[in-house]
This record gives sequence, C-alpha cells and structure tokens, in this order.
Amino acid sequence: MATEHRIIYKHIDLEGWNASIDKYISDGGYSILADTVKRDRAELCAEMEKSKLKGRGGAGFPTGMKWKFLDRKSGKPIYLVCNADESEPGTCKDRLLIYQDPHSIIEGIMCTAYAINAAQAFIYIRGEYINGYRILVNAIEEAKAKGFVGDKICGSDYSCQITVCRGAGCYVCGEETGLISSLAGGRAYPRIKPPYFPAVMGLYDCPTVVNNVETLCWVPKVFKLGGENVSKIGCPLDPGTHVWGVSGQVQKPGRYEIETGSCTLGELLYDLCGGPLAGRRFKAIIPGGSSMKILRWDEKFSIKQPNGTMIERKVEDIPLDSASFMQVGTAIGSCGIIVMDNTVDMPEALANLSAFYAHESCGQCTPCREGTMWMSRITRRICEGGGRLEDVDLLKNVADNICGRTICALGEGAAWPVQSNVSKFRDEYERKIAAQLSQGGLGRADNNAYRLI
Amino acid sequence: MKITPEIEKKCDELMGQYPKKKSAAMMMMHLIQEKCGYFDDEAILFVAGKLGVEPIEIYGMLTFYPMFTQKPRGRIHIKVCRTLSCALAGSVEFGRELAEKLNCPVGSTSGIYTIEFVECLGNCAKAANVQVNDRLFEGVSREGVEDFITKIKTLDASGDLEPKSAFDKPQGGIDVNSPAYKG
Repeated sequence: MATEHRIIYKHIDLEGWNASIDKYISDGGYSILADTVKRDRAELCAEMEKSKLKGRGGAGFPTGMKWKFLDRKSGKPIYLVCNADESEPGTCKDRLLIYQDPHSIIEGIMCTAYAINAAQAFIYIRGEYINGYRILVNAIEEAKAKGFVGDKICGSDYSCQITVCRGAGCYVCGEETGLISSLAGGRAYPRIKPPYFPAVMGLYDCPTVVNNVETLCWVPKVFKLGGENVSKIGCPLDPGTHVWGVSGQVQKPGRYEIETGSCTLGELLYDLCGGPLAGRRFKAIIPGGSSMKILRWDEKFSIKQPNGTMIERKVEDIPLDSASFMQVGTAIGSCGIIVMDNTVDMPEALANLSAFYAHESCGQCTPCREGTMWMSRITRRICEGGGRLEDVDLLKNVADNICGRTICALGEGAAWPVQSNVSKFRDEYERKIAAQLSQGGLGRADNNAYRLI
Repeated sequence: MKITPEIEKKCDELMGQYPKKKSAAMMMMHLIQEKCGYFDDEAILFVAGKLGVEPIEIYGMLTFYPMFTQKPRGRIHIKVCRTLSCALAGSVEFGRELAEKLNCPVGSTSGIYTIEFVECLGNCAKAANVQVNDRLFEGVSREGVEDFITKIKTLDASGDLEPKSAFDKPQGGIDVNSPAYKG
C-alpha cells in the first residue's frame, strides 16, 4: 500500500496553514537559516555533496556537484537563480510551493546563497503565475523586515538581496542557459556549453547556480539533517522524496510526495490516485513531463538485477525512483505523470504535444525549429484526414535528425515523445491512416475521448 | 499611448533591483503591457531609451515572448490551456465552444473579449485550466461552458474581473488566507 511521505510538501493544503511569515516561523521556520550563517561554507557544500540529492527540475543533475563546479577563483560575483519557470506539460509541483509556502523557498534560497557566497539571488517565475509573483514579493518584504533577507542576515556579516523577475510565457526559459539569457534582458536563447556552463559563465558571464524551486526547498533539510542522513532517505541512487504531479485520466489526479523507491508506479496510480476512470483501462503513461519517452501500459521489460539474474518487469511494477525509470528506457524528468486511458487516440495525443514543441522552439537551431514544425504539421495532418502511409517513417526520420544537433535539450524533448510514440504505437498510426485512405475524410479512432487538437 | 510619470518612476525602481539595468527589460515590459494594454512604437522607444539599448532589441523581445502584444486586447482576456493534460480533460473543445458562444474566434479579440489557446499553465493536476486576466479557473469542463460564461459575466459585473497589474496588490491587499493563496 502506497503512502505519502511529506517533507517538502509538509505545509501544502494543511488545515489552518497560510503563506504568512508568522505561520512559517511558528513551525520552526528560518531557524535553520540562523544556524546556517554561523557555519563554514565549505562544510555546507560538502554536506550537499554527501546527500547525493539530484536536482528536481528535470535533468536530475546532482545538486552538490553543480555547486562544486562553481568557478570560485575568478573574482567575479557569484549569482544564484531560483528556477520557478515551471512550464513542462504535466508538471505542477512548484506552483503550490510558491502559492502556499513561499517562505520555505526563501529560506532555501538564503541558505544556498550563503553556502555558495552569492552576491545576489534571483527568482525567475513564469509570467502566468501573477498572484504567485505578488505572493513572493510580499513574502520577501516580510522576510526582509525580520532580517532573513537583505543586509546582515540573522545578525551575520553576510548580505544578499532577492529580486523576482517574471517570464512571459516562454517554455525555453526553463532551460537554465535560456533563463540566463532572458534574465540578462533579451530573448531567451539558450547558449552553447561549452563555454557557457552556468557555473563558469552564467548570468553576465559570471559564475551562476540555477536550481529548481523544489531543490532549493531541500537545502535547509540537508543542512539540518546532514548530508549523510538525507542520503539514507529512500533509494541510495536517488535519495529523498519526489513530488509526483499526476494528471490525465485517473480518478484522483493530484500532487503526491513519495519517498524514492518506496512504492511502484502501479501503487501510486491505483492506491493514491484511485485507478482508471469508471469502465476504462490504462493505455499509456508519460512518466516525467511531456518530453520523456512514453510507456505502454502493457509493455514488459527484462531488467538485470545486481546479482546478474534477469527479471521481467511490468510497467505497473516500476519503482518510483530515477534509476528504475532509466532501466526501462525513459526518465522521471520533473515527475509530472500524464495518464492516458483506452479512450485516447495516440496520434492525437502526439499531435497535441508536437504543436506545443513547435510553438516553443526558440528558433536558433535549424533542426529544432524546422523539425518541430514539421512534426507538428505531419501529426496534425494524420489527425485531420490527410495522412499518408509513409508519414509514420517520415515522422521518425525527422525526430532522429533533431537529437544531438541542437544547443539545448528542447530538441531531444521534442523528439523523444515522437520516437517513442511512433515506435510503440505504430499499429495505431498505420490503422488510422489506412482507414482514412479507404474512407476518405476524417478517420478518427472510434472512441469517446475529447478532441485533443 | 501615454507613459505616465508613475510608470517611469516604477521603471527606475525596477532598474535599481538588478546589477545591470538591462535585466529590468522583462519587468519593465510587463509593467507597460499591464498599465497600457499593449506596445506601440512610443512604448518600445521608451523602454529602449530607459535601458540604453537599440529599439530593435526591445522589439525582438516583444515578438519573442507570447505574453507581450502589439495589439490591444479585450478587457476580459481568456487563456485556455490546450496542452495535453488539459486537452485530456476537454479543454480544446471547451475553448472552441466558448469562442462560439461568446462570438469571438480563438486567437482574436471581439468586443470586451480576447480568447487564446495557450500552452501549459502549470496546474495539470486540476485540469482543465483557464486563466481570465489574473485569475485562474481550474477544473472546467466542456460540459460547463455555459456555467463558466455565467460565472465570468457575474464577476465582471461586480468589478471582480477588472484587469489588475501584477505590480498592484489585489483588491483588499494581500490576504494570506484568501483562496488565491491556495494556488
């Protein structure tokens, strides 16, 4: 039986909780920051590394390593950026932290800023979170008045301001170098690594750490409990908890915080989310935000155990941790699960996502700009009755030619759904196109789902 | 378009919050968009002048970010999320039906309404989501189009839907117990 283990989401939807600083302080808030500013910076960074915590924004890069790579010898100021530009379809975990528990983010930012000795911190929040922006600004003012942000934090010598910047409806701002370009005042064009590794040449070409909201909320926990103890929570390869945002066709969609490896995908979807809608059955899930490769619900995988033996694993038996999802050829990304049941026409679902990527490509790299547009056009024509049998291979060919040929990962993010969808549901595409060719006109799959495009 | 002294004062304040003033571009553009409704040449030249950059840079940002516009929008700006989680809950059909009922095609402005399909609004677990000015309506369904229209018309009649800038506190100030704080 799956159960939640709330560490980051401790205050979310809690009876009687609100976003004020008084509430946060009444639950011991900012006490960790007060202790942190008395500690040695190198020791704090070492704790983070020991925790083996992975970033929660999608790429899953170890946070301690990210801090370690900071160019501390350059003499340039170091900047900290909180990435609150949550825009991966299916991901909705940061929103509630911003709206309901802004002080936990601010404490996380200030602890991190102290540990990396940042000259200034920024929060880059997506433009659509209008009230979220007001809430953060209000919370920063409250924290400033009490000496937790600004000059001489908690009576120490360390001073750091937090500035909140709003995005304006652009997905690629979630990519760290794109975010940096936007924050510097321009189009959100991602920059090529090398040389533009944020840790060396980030904002204003100064060393910069860009961390996700949820990652920053972990920082005070790591400093308090110690890296060693945090590394023992959940699965050793991916310690801590993940906030899974489950959306789509389940009884109880929602956000569930689960200790890594403590339950399986099936337990999450059946026990906590209540299973499929009445009279339906699961067909496919996208595990970690729309960019990750899709899983067919009836797929089976051969998994090599540590002792060398092979076991067969069904999709519902995949444990909820990053390593287990890697073993089945996909990734947990930002933990936004999108569930689709037997009423969903897969070509339509793919057309919906391809339209998203075509809209969001920043246009710098030809393979991505042209590729996402053509993938969108081809999937759309398959849905609208103009599909050709060779379109299935054409789609895959376009996707294959994007991967590895772009500055940022948006290219892969757009290609993976196409590659996995077309190869795993090829029969459905071929059937749909064949039906259209034989009947003419709209050959929509016979089901009762909503139109998706 | 009139750039008032208050707007200019606020712009100076925003520029002071960044180590380099050019970084204030996003926030200044939001301010002007929300106070003036859209960008004309005068507004572009004003921002460029303030930041000390070429106007083409501001024009480049204006055309890059979907939230900025060069055309005036309706007083009631409806953004329907069309991305997968919301689409699975019927948002695409919701948007089309809403457009038909309000007699305002998706992607256009007609009278007091502007209706747009937008990409993921970041509240997938409560699909389908629709944002109207600075308010989020979650859990809408295709079957609820009529109810939704009644709701926004009632809110508009009482002045609760009045477009408010993110730089202004919501009516009644910041109330940490309000439903808006629940996300």
